[in-house]
Amino acid sequence: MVLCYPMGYEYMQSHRSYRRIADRLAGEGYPVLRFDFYGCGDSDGDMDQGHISQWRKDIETAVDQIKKKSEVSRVCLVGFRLGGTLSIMHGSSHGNIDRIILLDPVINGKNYLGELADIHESLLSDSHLTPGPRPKNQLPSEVQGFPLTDVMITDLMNIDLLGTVQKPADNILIIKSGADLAKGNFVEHLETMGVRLSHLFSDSGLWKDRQAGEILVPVKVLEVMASWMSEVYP
Amino acid sequence: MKEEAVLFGQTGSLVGIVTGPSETETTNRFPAVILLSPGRVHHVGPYRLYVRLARNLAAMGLTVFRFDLSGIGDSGIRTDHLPFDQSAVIETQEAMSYLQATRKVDRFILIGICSGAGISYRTALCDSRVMGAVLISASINLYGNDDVLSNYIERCGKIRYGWRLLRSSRIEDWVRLVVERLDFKKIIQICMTMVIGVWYQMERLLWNRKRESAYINKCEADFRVLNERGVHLFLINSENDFLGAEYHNMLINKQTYPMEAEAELQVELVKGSDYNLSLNKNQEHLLKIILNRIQGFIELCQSPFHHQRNSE
Repeated sequence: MVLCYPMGYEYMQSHRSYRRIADRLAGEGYPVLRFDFYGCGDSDGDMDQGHISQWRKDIETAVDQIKKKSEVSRVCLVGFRLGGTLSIMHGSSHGNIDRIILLDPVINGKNYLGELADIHESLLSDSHLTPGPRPKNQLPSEVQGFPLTDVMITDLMNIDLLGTVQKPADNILIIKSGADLAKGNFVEHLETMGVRLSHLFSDSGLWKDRQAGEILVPVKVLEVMASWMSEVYP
Repeated sequence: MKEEAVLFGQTGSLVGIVTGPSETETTNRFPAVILLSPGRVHHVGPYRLYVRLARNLAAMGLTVFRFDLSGIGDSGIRTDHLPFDQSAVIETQEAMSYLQATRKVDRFILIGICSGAGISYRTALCDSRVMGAVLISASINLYGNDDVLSNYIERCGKIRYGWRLLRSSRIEDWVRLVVERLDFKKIIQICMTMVIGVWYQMERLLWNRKRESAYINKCEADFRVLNERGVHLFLINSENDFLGAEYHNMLINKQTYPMEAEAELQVELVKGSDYNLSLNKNQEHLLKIILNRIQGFIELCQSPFHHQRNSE
């Protein structure tokens, strides 16, 4: 199992959750690797040096590492939000992923950028902050304390999982927490590619108004993840 | 520079990262620095600030330790049901003991933001190994989860918040509130805040001075303890932290900290910043302030006067 974190503030919000997921899956007997992307967390590099193509290479490195260290041949990726998106992109381009677990993946990067811009405006308004001048309709250069570089903006604009051509994995579990997954019919798109899909809707509203470290994946979700994995790896 | 993930603590369930100079650069003349995160933020710190801070400080020759308290980040949970206020101080002391045993340092500077600042302060009070503390957005957190004080000061702070809202709001924001967004809820909220604030200030003047003075006296006594030990305190506040300003003005004034001790208590303001230091420019400014302050501590450690005072 390789756990891929989301980016920015969502990383801070979900960090503890990832530890819980890792503990639960390791307790079920799976070797688990969770890592920080370049420029994030404890990894090398500055935050404004992180970009999507580097992060995709990081997943490749992580997959190679867990195969070597644990002597496994099959790998499952787990990702929340952009971590889920990158998992799909990796699976599709490399064809070496057995299963993927997604929680509220980012389907369309342009929409995601719009959400981030809204969050940033809210933050400025609520905190009575005055940032530097910015032309109207231009995206902010930071969101919730994390930089948003031009390179990252371009990378995110180019993300559209509905354009995925190759099957990312044979089996995918999608967990939806109230974020709108219905836009663009991502689920149908995966099914047309021959993916065996499982769904779980957890209406806990995981992301809204949560501070860093506050997101905890419900026990029910952890149980579904574990039992879904055990269906194929008894 | 080296970075190492470690397990430590009485049960070996606490996770931390030690960042330090390489062996050829090591010197244990300098104190080690321990970084305490706020709330449930894990050891990278808010907006990954602690990663940057640790690496910059290590480049200056210091050993830096950032770790997760029990139940936060990568650390395990405690099973002894000790209240957080107590366990956090104990675990910070365990972090110091770990560095003493493994890195041969015996003096420490604690740096904390928000609740991390409160933990740093309370640890400094009870542990003589602490020679200095950098407390960021600390005022509201100095005395932990004191509900009576929190409720009381929050009420007193409302009027300051309300007036500040009025002064900092731009005309176009108010026009937008009234005309474009028709956000009557927000307008009423602001007006009610002002009215309630006026009432609480009157209540404060008439009845609550005695309650307030108990906290001021405690703070004065605690600062005296730190001053007598030669502990340096550096407070960094945010300009838009209205509630923090109320706490700060109540607790830290000429009465609590005598004029002659000014050199060992310094206060700096991050202009244009909110309580959470959300903007990148505020984080950069904060980083610069802290690095300058730590540089000052290093120079102090190297001064003969400091060695003389410590040996008295």
